[in-house]
This record gives sequence, structure tokens and C-alpha cells, in this order.
Amino acid sequence: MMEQNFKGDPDTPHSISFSGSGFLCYYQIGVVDAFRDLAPRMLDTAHRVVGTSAGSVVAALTVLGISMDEYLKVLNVGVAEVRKYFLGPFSPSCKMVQIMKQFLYRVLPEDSYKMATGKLHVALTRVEDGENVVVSEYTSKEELIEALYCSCFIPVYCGLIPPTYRGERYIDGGFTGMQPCSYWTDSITISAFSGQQDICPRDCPAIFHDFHLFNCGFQFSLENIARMTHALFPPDLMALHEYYYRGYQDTVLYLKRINAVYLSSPTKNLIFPRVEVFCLGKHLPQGREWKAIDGQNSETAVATSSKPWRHPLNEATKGNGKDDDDEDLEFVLAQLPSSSATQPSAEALVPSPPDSPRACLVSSPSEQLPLSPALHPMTRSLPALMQSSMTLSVPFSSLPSFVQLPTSPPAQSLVSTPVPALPSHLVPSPTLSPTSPIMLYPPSIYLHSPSVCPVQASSVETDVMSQPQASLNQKITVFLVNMKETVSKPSVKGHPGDDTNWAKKLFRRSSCDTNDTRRDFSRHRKSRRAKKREQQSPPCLDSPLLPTPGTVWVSYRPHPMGTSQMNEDSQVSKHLERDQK
Amino acid sequence: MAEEEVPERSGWLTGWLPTWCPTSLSLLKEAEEKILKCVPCSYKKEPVCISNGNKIWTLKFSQDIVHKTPLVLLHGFGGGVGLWALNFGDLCENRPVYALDLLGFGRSSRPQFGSDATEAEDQFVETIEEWRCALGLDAVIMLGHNLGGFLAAAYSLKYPSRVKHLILVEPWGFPERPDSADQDRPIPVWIKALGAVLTPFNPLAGLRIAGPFGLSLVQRLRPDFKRKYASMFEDDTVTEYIYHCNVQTPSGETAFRNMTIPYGWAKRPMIMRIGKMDPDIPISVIYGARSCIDGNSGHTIQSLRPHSYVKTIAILGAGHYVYADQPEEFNQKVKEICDSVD
Repeated sequence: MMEQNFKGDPDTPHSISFSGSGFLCYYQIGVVDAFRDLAPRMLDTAHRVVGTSAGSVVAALTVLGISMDEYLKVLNVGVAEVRKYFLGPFSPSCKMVQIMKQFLYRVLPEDSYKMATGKLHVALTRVEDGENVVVSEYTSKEELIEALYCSCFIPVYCGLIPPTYRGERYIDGGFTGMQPCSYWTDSITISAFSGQQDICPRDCPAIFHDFHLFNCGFQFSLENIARMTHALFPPDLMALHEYYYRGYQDTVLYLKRINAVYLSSPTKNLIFPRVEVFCLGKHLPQGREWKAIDGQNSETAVATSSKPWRHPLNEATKGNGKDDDDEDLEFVLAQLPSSSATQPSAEALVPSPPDSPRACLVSSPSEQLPLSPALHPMTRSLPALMQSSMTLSVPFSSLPSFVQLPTSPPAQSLVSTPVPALPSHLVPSPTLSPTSPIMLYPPSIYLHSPSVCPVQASSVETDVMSQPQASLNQKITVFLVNMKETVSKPSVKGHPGDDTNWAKKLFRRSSCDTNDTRRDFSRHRKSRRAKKREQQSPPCLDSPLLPTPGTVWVSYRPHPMGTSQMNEDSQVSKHLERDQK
Repeated sequence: MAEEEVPERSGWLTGWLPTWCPTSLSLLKEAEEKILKCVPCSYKKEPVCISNGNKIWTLKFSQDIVHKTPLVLLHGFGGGVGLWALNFGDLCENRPVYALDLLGFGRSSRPQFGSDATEAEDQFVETIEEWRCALGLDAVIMLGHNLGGFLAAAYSLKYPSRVKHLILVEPWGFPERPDSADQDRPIPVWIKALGAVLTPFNPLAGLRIAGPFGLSLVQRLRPDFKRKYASMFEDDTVTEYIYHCNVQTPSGETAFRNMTIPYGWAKRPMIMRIGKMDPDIPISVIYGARSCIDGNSGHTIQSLRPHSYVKTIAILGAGHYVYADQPEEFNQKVKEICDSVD
């Protein structure tokens, strides 16, 4: 059967293929969340979804429309448990797969097999003859779960005796086809390893040597090998969450590519307007492109209504737009463009370095001028607490507290407790809710850091910022590339630059919570983050210091490793309690 | 390609290896002929002599069309003219097309290159220029894939008057390596160690070391080539061709290695220089949406040449080998670009 190549239009029949990914299914979950947020049609109209190994569970949740939040929670607990053992996943008492099975029993509706039949494909390897088998028919919920269980079963790793599905023994489908059903030509391929897939991490653009294992192409890069080890031996939660964001980011890039292709085609249709709004910086052609073919009124409304005031911002950050998914941050930076040093931090999350020089060029004074008068008062009159926090930020220059933020009670209450409002005249943008000073907060640090406290920025950063203007462009390129590297780096305990990014991301997420206008497309993330914070907050720590962000920064600074361990433990114990109930 | 931990080849090994690897120029010739047999149009092939006794293996299509600017195809690293098999037919419909094996690759001479990046690059560029003179072409449309893209850009920098349009297909060597790449990556130590061990080797050394197993290694590790060209060849023709192209004396490959810094970044990134290119040369960047080399080079080039024509074309569903993954679409795009020239 020869199928049409998928051209990106969500209304043409297409399929989705999730590769085997092990613990890196965080990446794929990020991908699905991004699709749900930004291009739900892409998922709704897919006529078949295939997955193998851990990807099959993601595929199942995708098909059945089950929120990923629950699954992430379960995974977090599982990872924490796996990491407790010296032998990791190989230790005999580790029951990662069982935890997942229980989870599936809990969340799948009784009639899920009806929904899944015909649409959800699960790739398995038959033990008997080593053939790759794709099943897509299920007669009961139990059978569906059995199929998923078989697909995740790596011999030795998960147990010794392979499970059965319809009386036959199967193991992980990844052994015979890491990217299942690669012969489907209409599929969007989603892989947690960099290779030649539609959505996959792209680490170093320079290496093009591929090798093929288990019927799937992998790029020969050190990062990729690291990913492979991470897939079976999970790194800590922070790194895994980094994978989640990477997935989200890469999906945005993918959707933007499709948008770009269609914009340059004769029809000039913008297929995924949400992505463009999400990315904001992108300079959009005026006119009918805005008539989204996505047909959802709400989002079109958002797009159109936000256009008038966003447009100038677009001008300022036009260069970023192409690849930046970092909407809120970019927002804020667009609001505060008085220092070109802020530009790099906005760019920091741009996954594609080569775009950056353009950004710098575009944001040259001429284009910024119209903006700056309006912005100056704002930057000047930032509340004193902010200013003070900037000076106070010196103590956490090494930033371990940033690492802790997502798991710490301060972070939680940044969201949950009302924070003193900034005077609203400071906040010209309608979407910047006055109740979200946090949102202005990290960028303001950046804005001032070169002069006030250079220590606060990472060494690379200060380096760049102190360069003479003449060489700035070139330098920034380097810097941005660095930042890209650090962003993409799923490391936990390390480098200040990375930590800052993490903090920024956190703020981005938390700012979503107070941000009404964009609620419609950040709901998933928001709720997920919020839940995660609740769940991760160690019960033993209360948080009296929270009302002003300034104090939060300085006062709470536990050892990253210590607390994360504690968090993990507390999660596990919580989970166990719940199970016992 | 996967590399193995092996002692680096020294003098005596060089002499010994050819017998270890079941390859020879005649086998390469055979494999290439097998590929070209399937090309649906007539062509001439000849080695073009240039200085230093080097020969550039060349295919010429539609030479009788004289009033159109010829299109020159430069293959990528580890490739050869044969890989364009799916594209010749369409591209030469209304325009002369030339395909050449770069110096040190395929069936061209394999001399010793300078060990310096600049020197090696110049050598490549000079051979292209000499080749053009030898054929008496006045101006051309340069299309380069991967390493070829890099060289096409380098050529256009040096001989701007000879290039009417520059088409970069998945070009290698544009972005700059991030400074902090190494220390910042969350890479376990043993993987870094592995990387360090492999650094001194030629990218495809493992293939030659594997000797008689090399061919099956290619088939095992790159089954995708067979799939890409499945519409043309049922059997392993392409894999064999690639094997024989790369298992010969590594001359272009060594030059390539000298032009890179680990792992695979260019020593002299083109992005730093492309701004100096003659603003009158239009550039088109074609990339596959699935490729690891991302298409952002195009946008960066655009920003570095604000007053020149730069167009980025993404081809969905195509990986790094765009022209083999989605030949029809690729051919059509290239033809459109060429038609915009004349």
C-alpha cells in the first residue's frame, strides 16, 4: 500500500509514531502536551497512532485523551524509586513496570479498548520467531493493558519471563523496530533520540553520521549515546523534566516548520496559528494569514486581538521568533529592551543558534527606539523590592537555589499565594497581569545584572555583556550557541547558566498561572506544573518567607542534592500511603 | 558511521589495507556503472584532467543545450556522482547538468591534501575552478550537498563572477561550534572518554578496519540507503557503491577531518564568512525537515546578507539526503530555482 506523504496539513490523513524511549518518554510526553496545547487537531485527526516500548503507553494515553499529568506523577514516583536502588532498574525489588501497569488499570476507562481498537497500534516483538508484530485490536481493557505491558517488557531489565498477549509471549517492540511502522509514509515520527525524525532533539547540527540500530536511525553524537543510557538508567528528575521541555520545544519547532512551509506555498495559509502566537516573536505577515484554518474561534480571537499591541514587540524580537517557544519570557524581554544584554537571555532558549545573529541585528537601536521611551519609566520604577533583590542576588550567584525552586515550597507558593501587586501602570501589557511581579522578575535580574551584580550571571554571560558593542553581534552568536547547549542540557546539579535557564523556565510556567489571556493554550502545562509542585514539595518545610519574591531568593537555599533526595523519598512515601489507603 | 577502537593506520598498514578490504577501483567502477545504467537519460562521462596530474571524474548531461546556465552538482561527504541517480533525469530536462566527484572522493584522484583547514579548503576550491576552466564553462549554478554545500559556498566566495546562483542542500559546516559545548554537556564520563578515543581517527576509519566485513557493516548500519533508492534498484547496488567509494585510500576524507573540530563542526565555519559574499549571488537553502542539520542556517544567512536574495526551502518528510528521500519534490524545487536564473 503506497500512502501519500504527509505534508503537514492536519486534515489530511496522517499517523503518529512514537519510538521506543524508556525513561525518556518524558520527552514524548512533552511532545504530546505541546500538540494538545498548540495543535490539537494534529492529534484528533490522526487515524492511527503507533508506539513501542514506553512510547506505546504515551501513544495509548494520546489516543484515549488521558491527561499526561497523572502519568508524569506516576513516572516521577517510579523514577524516584528506581534511583533509590544501588543497582537501579536492575535491582530485583524494583517494580517500575508494575507501577505503570497499575497506573494503566487505574486511569484507562473500562471501554478504552473500543476507542483504541483500530487506532492505537502497539508494536511488539514475538519471542518465538523474533518478528515485529503490530497489534491494533483489543477485546478488553485487560488485553489492551497486556499489549502495552508486553511492549514495555525488556527481558532481564524488567523480569525474566516475558508476558503473554493472546497466549503468545512478546517482548519490547523496540528490539525489532525502534521507530515502529517506519514504512508508513504518512507518519509524524517522534523520537527521544536525535536522528532523522520529524520531532527529535537536534543536538549538534554538524555531525551527520547516522547509524541504524533496531531499524531506526540514530545520529552518532555523544549526546545521543548519553540519551541512550538515560533511557534505561534514569537520571534525576530534574534532568528528566528537562527532557520534557525539550520535547515541548522541539514540537513547537516542528509546527513552525510546517507553518513556514505553508506560508511559502501558494495558498499562504497559516496552519497552526497558536504556534505563532505562542512564539510571539515571529513577524507575521499581515492580513488573511490570520484567518486560521484551524477554525477555532477562541484562538483566532486571541490571535487577532493580541495583534495590535504585539506587533511592535514582534518587530523588536523578530529574529527570535523563528524558533523561540519561550513566549512569556520573550514577552517580558520585549517589554524591557533598553539593554541589548537582555536579548541574549531571551535568546537563550532558542534551540537553534544560527538564528541569533539576526536577532541581534534586528534588535538594533533603530527598531528599539520607538519602544524604549514607553519602557523606560517602567524599568526605572521597578519596585524597590526588585532592586533590592537584584543586589541580594549576589549570594545565590552559584544558583543552587534555582535548581531547587521547582521542588521547593517557595516555588509552590509563588503560585498559590497572592503576591503583592505591582502598581498597574508599570505593566503596560494587557496580558501581563498586575498580580504577576514574578514574571518581570527574572528578566529584570538580567537587565541589571551586568552593572549591579555581574557575579549573578554565569561567567559566559558576563563575558559577553562586557564586550564592546562592535563585536557584540559576533560574540552573542557564540554566547547563544552556548546557551542553547546549556538549555538543552538536562543536567541537574551543575552549571549556573543552566540553572538560570531552569529558573527562567520555571518563571515562565508560573507566570502562566496568573496570565489570563493565554490561559487557553497553556492550561496543560500550567496545571501540570502546579500539581508537580504540590506533589514535590517536601512536607517538612513550611514557607513563611514567601510573600515577597526578594526574600525567597536569599533565604531558602538548601543543598540541591539533599532536598531532591528528600523530595523523592517523600513522594514515594506519599504514594505508598495512598496505595495503602 | 560507527567507528571502532583500532590503532591508527600507519605507513605499513596503508599498503596492507587494500588487500584486507575487498575493494578496488574496478569494483567501484562496476558499482557506479550499475547505478548509472538506471539513469533514464543519455550522458557522457570522462575524467577531466586538471593540474598536478589529478583527474576529476565528471558526468555531463544535456550538453547540447547551450543557451542555459549549466547546473553543477557537488556531492557530500562520503558520496559520489552516483548518489544523484534519482535526480539527473529531471534536472537535465532543459538544462545542461554536470556532476563531479570531488577531489579525493569517488572516482577522482586521491592526492594528499594539506593538513591545514584553510589549505585543504583552498585545494578543493581550486580543483573546482580548474575543472570549470577545463570544461570551458563560463558561469554556473552551484548546487552542493553537505560538504559540497560548504565547498560551493567557499567557491562562490572566491570566484563570485562564476556563480549565478548558489543552492545549498543540507550544507555542512555553517554554524560555529559552541565554546562551552564540552564542559556543559550532561554526558557521562565514559562516553566522553569514548569520544576522546575516537577523535584522532578518520570518520570512516572503522569501515576500512572492518575489512571484509565492511560491506555488511554498511548494509547493517545504513539500511536506509537501500530504502531510499528502492524505486531504482532492488538490490544492494547503492550500499556497495557507497562502500567502495569510502573504503579506498582516504584522501578527501582526511582533508575533511582536517577541516573539522570534534565532533563534526567546521574549523572555519562558513557562517562567519558568508556575509562577505558578493551580494549579487542569490542563495537558496534546501533542507529536509527531518534532518539533523537544521534549516536555521538559511535564516542566519538571510540575516547576514540583508540586501541579498536568500531563500530557505524545507522539504517535509525528507532527512539529510533530501534528494534521495523526496526526489520529485527536490527536483521540482531545484528546477524552479534554476528557471529563475534563465
